[in-house]
Amino acid sequence: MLNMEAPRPTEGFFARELGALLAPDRIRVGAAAARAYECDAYTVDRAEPWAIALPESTEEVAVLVRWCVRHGVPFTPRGAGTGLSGGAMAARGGIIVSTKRMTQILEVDLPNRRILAQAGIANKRLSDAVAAAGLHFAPDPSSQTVSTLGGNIAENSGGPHTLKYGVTAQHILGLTLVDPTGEVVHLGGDATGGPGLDFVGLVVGAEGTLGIVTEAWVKLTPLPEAVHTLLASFAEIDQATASVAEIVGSGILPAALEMMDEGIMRAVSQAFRLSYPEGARALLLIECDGAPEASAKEAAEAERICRAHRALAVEIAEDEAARQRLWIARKKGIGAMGRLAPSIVTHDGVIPRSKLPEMLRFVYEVAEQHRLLVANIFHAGDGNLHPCFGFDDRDPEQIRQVVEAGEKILRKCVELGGSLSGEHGVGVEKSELMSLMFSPDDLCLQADAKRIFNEGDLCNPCKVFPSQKGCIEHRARWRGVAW
Amino acid sequence: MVAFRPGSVGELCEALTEPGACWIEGSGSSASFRVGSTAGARTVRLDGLSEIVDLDPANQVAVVQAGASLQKLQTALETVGHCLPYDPYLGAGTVGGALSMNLPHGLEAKHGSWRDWVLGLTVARPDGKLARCGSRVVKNVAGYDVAKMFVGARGWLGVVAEVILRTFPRPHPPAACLEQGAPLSAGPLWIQRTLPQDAIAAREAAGDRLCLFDPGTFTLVAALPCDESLPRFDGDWVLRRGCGNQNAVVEEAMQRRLMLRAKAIFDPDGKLNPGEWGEL
Repeated sequence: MLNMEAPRPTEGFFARELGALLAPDRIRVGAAAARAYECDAYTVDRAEPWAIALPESTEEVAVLVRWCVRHGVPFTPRGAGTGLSGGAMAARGGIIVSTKRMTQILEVDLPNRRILAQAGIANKRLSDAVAAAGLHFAPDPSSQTVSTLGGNIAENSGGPHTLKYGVTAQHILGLTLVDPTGEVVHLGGDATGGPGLDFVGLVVGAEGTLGIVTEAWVKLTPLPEAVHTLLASFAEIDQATASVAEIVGSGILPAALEMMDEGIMRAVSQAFRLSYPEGARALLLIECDGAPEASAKEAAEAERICRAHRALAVEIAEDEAARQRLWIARKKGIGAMGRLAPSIVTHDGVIPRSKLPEMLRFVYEVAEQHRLLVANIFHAGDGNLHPCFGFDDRDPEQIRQVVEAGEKILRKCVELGGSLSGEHGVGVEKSELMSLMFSPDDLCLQADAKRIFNEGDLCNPCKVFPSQKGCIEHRARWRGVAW
Repeated sequence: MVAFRPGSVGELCEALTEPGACWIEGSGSSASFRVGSTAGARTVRLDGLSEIVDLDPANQVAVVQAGASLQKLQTALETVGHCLPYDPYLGAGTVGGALSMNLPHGLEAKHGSWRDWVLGLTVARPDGKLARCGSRVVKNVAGYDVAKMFVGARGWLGVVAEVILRTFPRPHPPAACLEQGAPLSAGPLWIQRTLPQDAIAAREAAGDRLCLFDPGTFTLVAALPCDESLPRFDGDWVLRRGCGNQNAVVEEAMQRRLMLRAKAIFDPDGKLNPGEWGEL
């Protein structure tokens, strides 16, 4: 058993030991590798792992975990590293177990509308594999071309289409998990809703702290027969939010209902040479899908509502190419902000939808107080907001401003009856804020659920719960300066 | 033994601080599906906790005490133009009871079920403490999704006291499309859900004993004597009623092990609904 207080074993030790378990070419050690894996897309907190392992199968993951348990070494699963709350950060060092080499589709079961795939497969590849059969994997986070099935499961990922199609939890039928002792556990997989407790439902969204998911049966959803996409622009954000309220209140369930503010509009018009009507300060992207007649009717009604709220213009996609163009502001909006600032942090909170206008005003106030560039993207239909702050992460003071601004926003979300996270998870980013939302007895209930699978402190430590053993002293070490 | 009917959540918690087993029920409408025995346990009926705490149609949320009847909830939602898209062909009762039993229903294929609608819960734990999980918003990933553990748990891990539900604007079409056969009262019910590819074969095997078939969720309900079975298929699950400990059979060894582990953590004294999952 390694003594965590003693000097860390050498790179050679890990290369040798782990290389003997898998193969030498599947272990990464050394400063450069550690640097590459020191954080995910939440770059504010960083911690270098001691080694990175690249298993190719469930059995190899189990062997690795058992080694870690024998030697008392922490381990952290990692998919594509696109997470936005530090979930894949090696908080107390140890081994990163990367699923980069576990990208296979194991079984395509079209009659039963499901696919069995390894956890390292990119989300989009699942849909691509069955598109010809008129099916897809519905959860579509913005990162879907790279984010992995395992990562989507860990965070219970959403995306623009969750309003109608549900989050990842609605689409996982079963999974294989290597639990924190190294045992392989199969959950679900068969006809949905089987007797017993819903352990699959607990593991989805557990942020990789109940073990390492290696494979999953995912549900396939028919592609809609018809899709109608509109982009409405407004002079005032309040007109856009009022349109959202009326659309949802009318009984229409759009497939997507996304709002972008002028910060996003400015970024994408520069980056992609898009133009919007003079004076436009908010965009509403609406997508209605389903049976041709019904979805056309919904889209027409949505258009009518936008115009009734004084939309400056409503663009309607004539074909798939036009549809992709209307989606650019939404899909590439955050990336386009990279032109405006060296670093971006995309915050994530949820409020009851009716509080959107109040919350937006608050976000702008906070940005001004902390002198930060801000742009807002909202999953307006479900009240999930993503304020994006631009800053320079070479300046510790600006890091501090961004973190404080984020905290103020989350406090407001909880105050308004919402949640600390709609999609990105708690990770390390929000673990100390959990007490805003949950009392000690509430956290005890969650801790009991965690104990069903994980009683120790080696599996992805320091995530989700505040003040975990051995994490407080590490917290100061994570916050740092990038280059 | 006369059932204890708490009139408030506080009274429920106080009752739980007393030692000894508790048989928890809503209105008792799912009695024929229950496995455990009331012998030696105090019966606690929750249909006195029946308040509609809050309706918030603008945000698609309703908060209701677990003992409120489904009828009461639907009627209240109707007044604000909302509904829960639920069509209980196997009997309705209280909100807490329905989500705890999580039986199949007629609108499941299109509109999901309790697992999809429960946004949060207030749970009274076996020691009488209250704990909340989830939130009041339709999208939330903060912390562990413990609410999922209570859906379908048959009251085994904790007593659901209050429920936060996602609601849906009418006109969410409330029309179920179920194939009907023999009446549900024809005998003890065999309920089987298969993978899609086996649904037709399973339905045909039921023959004239078939009561209902849901082509959306591949669920069949048949009236069968307890000593008879219908053919099984790979990946199916079976829940049957009126047949004592043959209800809620959990066949998978790993599932049984994890359930026992969950029980040891959540209810170490085995107070709640003893025997409800049979011999695990």
